[in-house]
Amino acid sequence: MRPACPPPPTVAVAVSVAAWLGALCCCAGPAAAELGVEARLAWEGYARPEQWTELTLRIASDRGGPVELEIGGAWPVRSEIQIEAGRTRTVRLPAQPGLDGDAISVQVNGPGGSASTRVSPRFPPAGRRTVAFVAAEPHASGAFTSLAVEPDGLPRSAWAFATADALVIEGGALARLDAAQLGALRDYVRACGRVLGVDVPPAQLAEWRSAAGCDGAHLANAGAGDAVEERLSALLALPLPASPTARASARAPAARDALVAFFVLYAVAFGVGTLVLRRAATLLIVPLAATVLLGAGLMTRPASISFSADGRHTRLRIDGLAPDQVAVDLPAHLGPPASAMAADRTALRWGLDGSRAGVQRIELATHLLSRHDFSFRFASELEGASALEGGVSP
Amino acid sequence: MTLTPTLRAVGLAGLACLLPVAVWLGGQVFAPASPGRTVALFESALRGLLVAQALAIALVGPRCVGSRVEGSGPGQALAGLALLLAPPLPLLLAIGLAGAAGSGVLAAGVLALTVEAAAIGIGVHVLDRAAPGQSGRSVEALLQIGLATTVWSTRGVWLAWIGV
Repeated sequence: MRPACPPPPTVAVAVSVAAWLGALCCCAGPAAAELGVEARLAWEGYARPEQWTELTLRIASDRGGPVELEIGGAWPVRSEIQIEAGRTRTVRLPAQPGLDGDAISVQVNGPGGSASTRVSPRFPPAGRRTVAFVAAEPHASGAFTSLAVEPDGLPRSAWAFATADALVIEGGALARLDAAQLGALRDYVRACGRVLGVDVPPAQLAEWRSAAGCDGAHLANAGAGDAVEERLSALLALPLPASPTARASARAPAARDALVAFFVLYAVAFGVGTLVLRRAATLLIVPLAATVLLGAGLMTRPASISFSADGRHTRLRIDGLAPDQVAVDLPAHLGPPASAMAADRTALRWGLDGSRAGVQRIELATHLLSRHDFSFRFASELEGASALEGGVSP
Repeated sequence: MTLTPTLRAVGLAGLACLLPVAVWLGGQVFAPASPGRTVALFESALRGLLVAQALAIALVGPRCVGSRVEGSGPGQALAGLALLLAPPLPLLLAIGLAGAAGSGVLAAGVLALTVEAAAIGIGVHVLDRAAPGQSGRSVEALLQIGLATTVWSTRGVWLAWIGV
């Protein structure tokens, strides 16, 4: 008779199981790096459909290296940043909510892992003016919708100010703005943004007035006892400078002229050849040769790219001649395109690092006679420059 | 192969398919319009060109094959088909470069027209044997009208098959 085996102690079993599980985990591969992302929209989440707003991302990773960022919405934006292990990095990118008001997706692909999140925009009522009150007492009015915004919710980029038709900011709040916010506010004033200061210190007001566009007509200051609503109504009645419309020019580019001339010549050549040539094979050479000539002529010419700046706005036009991928680098301070007239929304790549800092790149596919017009609300450093003909290397 | 009067007429018919489409397209691309419309214009041009060529094959095809035609034979038929399809080649290239159609769609279009031409050639030879002489000419005219009507009325079907 065999002696009964004593039951194993519970602790020993647990340790054994834990050891096996640990070994399995180690054998299965290195532990996934922790990658975290938080997303927040400027203006406390208020945004307008198909208008740019600023998205702040806070990204942290256990591992350092390149991180790819992809922002969804009506216009996709991509960027790549470097991140250091164990340190949180804050980046700000443009984001554009769609008409449907769906949440904007944020996808982060870093070393050893990926993370995603979504951020939902809040749309003010459509068809009404919107006035943002920064640390100021919001005024209820039937003429506009009031948005109460904390100083921290103010964007750091001037192009993101389009969410509000006018801004009311209290002098005391200015001390709570960081340098980027103050700079963006100054650029907004320079671009004829409507700003009503309430008890703004004279020095700050003087700085704004010296920079203000539209002869300072869109900038006003009110004392504590003044009627803010009246001043606001007067400001809102002022028209903003018209953005350059992205309408196609009635003047056709040279490529169209050349193409039409080619077909006219070809039709004449084939018609005459039909009447005078004696052999069918010789006549067949005419369309074949014309096709080869046309292909060689179009496919060897790069897209035509031209910039124009009038001191207040910048425009970019890309005329395609053949299927091609075109990339154009522009200063990021122009902001993302305020309007675009293109078959699709193309891709916007935003430079944040190293040699590409302060650069935005527009990438798109061109075709024969395709035309892509982009207008930018802010003035360009290319001012006076300019026309650049020819391809731009990717 | 010598360019017979029949082949010259076929070549001019090929040019006649191209010209209206090219003139219409030329007028449209000069009009200020959204860039996205350019692709739609070239797509419409491709549909118009294919329908015009299919109608031309239906109307001209029976005339350039068959025993009564000068220099008739397979070589004549092939040369006729080539002269009918070749003139719009530069326009087809432009349509491809404009992103309105891929090479597969363009190849399917040419294949469909070739199949139509081959079917007409076979039909005409069968008619020549069945009803030679003047009565055959009347039947041939009926065949042209019937083919052209069929091509026109079913254009939505075969254009969809091609993928246009």
